[in-house]
Amino acid sequence: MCDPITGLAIASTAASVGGGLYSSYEANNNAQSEMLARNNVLNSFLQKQTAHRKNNEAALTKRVEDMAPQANQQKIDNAVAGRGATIDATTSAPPSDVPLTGSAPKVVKDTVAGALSKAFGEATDAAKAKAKVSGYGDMMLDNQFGIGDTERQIGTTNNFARGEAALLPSQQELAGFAARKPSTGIGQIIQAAGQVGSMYAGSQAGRPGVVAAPGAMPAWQAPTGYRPPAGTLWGI
Amino acid sequence: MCMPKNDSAAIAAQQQEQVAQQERRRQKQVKKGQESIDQVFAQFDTPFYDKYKTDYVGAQQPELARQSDVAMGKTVASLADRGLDGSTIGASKMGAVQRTKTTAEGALANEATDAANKFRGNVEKQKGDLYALNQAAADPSMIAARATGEATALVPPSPSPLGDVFANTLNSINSYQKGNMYAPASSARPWWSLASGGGSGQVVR
Repeated sequence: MCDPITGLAIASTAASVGGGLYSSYEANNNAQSEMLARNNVLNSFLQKQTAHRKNNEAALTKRVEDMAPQANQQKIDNAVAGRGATIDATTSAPPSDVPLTGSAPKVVKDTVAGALSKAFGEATDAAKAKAKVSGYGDMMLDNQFGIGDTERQIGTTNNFARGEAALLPSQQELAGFAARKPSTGIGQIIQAAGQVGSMYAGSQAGRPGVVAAPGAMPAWQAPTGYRPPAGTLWGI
Repeated sequence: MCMPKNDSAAIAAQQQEQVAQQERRRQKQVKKGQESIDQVFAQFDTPFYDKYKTDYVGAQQPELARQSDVAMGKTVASLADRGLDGSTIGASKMGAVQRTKTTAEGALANEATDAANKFRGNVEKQKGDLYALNQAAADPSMIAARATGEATALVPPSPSPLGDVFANTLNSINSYQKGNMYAPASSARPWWSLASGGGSGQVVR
């Protein structure tokens, strides 16, 4: 058994400690929910960045595939065929009636027609041979346009990624702030009450009439003027 | 127990949402601007460049045909004048004219494709510039107007003047005619030429 003052002192100390513990528990909880909110923002950001990266990867893969040797050869063939078609549409074959007088013998006309036809064929072949060489340039140009197109796609995605990255710190800060809860004050109140109780118990301890419980305090520890009642353990 | 209302947290959450919303709106506007650019530039497709090539060739072909007719006429006349129109040399000369014509036509066809490629390069560059502008501005209506303006202001490469395509081919014929014209007792000399070629004139010192 202990006397009321001692009991008050013990209870107050307990309240102080308990209040402090509750306060730090609340603070920990707050910090945790703040970190959680920040992490959520970060995770959402990282998910978006992953999606952007995948988009870019897909665009780049498509471009690289489009420039594979077989694809390039196909482009050259198409370019050569296209140029060939333009040449065929542009060149006009020599007329069937050779530009000679009507009295010219058939053999002469045939000779001239043959010469014209030969010249036409050779010149057309020469133009098509040049077109074949130009086909490589056409393929390179087509690839260049393709790269430009991919560059634009990736550029746009990167623009979005940069925009989101620029917002990340402020978004995290705001999310953390939004997750922060104000202290309930319960811990502080309990702690304060405990401190008040301790102070009160301390102030009451040396006052006359206050009987210390047996064994509560040895005489040599007691404040000046304190006389333990006779019959108690230290009063003898 | 009366708890203080957490107004600042609510404001922070609201601000967070507003900022995120603004970024979403910006991205949406960039995409919309891009669609406008793509829509305006969709006209520059393969049929467009094919038509351009045809027009490019068409701009040169009549002149080439005219020069070819003149060259062939001159050649035939010159050969006939010398009685060579039925000869192998005559056939070869006419073949040379035909060769020059076809070579010029083939070159024109290739040049038309090159010009179409160059034009396509200009279009693609313009498109790229607009994309960059769109990303910076994120203003779809401005970009749409700008894209239309830029697309209509594009100047396609125009064909260079044809020049005298058959000059080299006709060189020998022209030289022959000139030489013949000033040769003594030449049949190619015009009737009004007084000098017979035998020459009775003398130099007076």
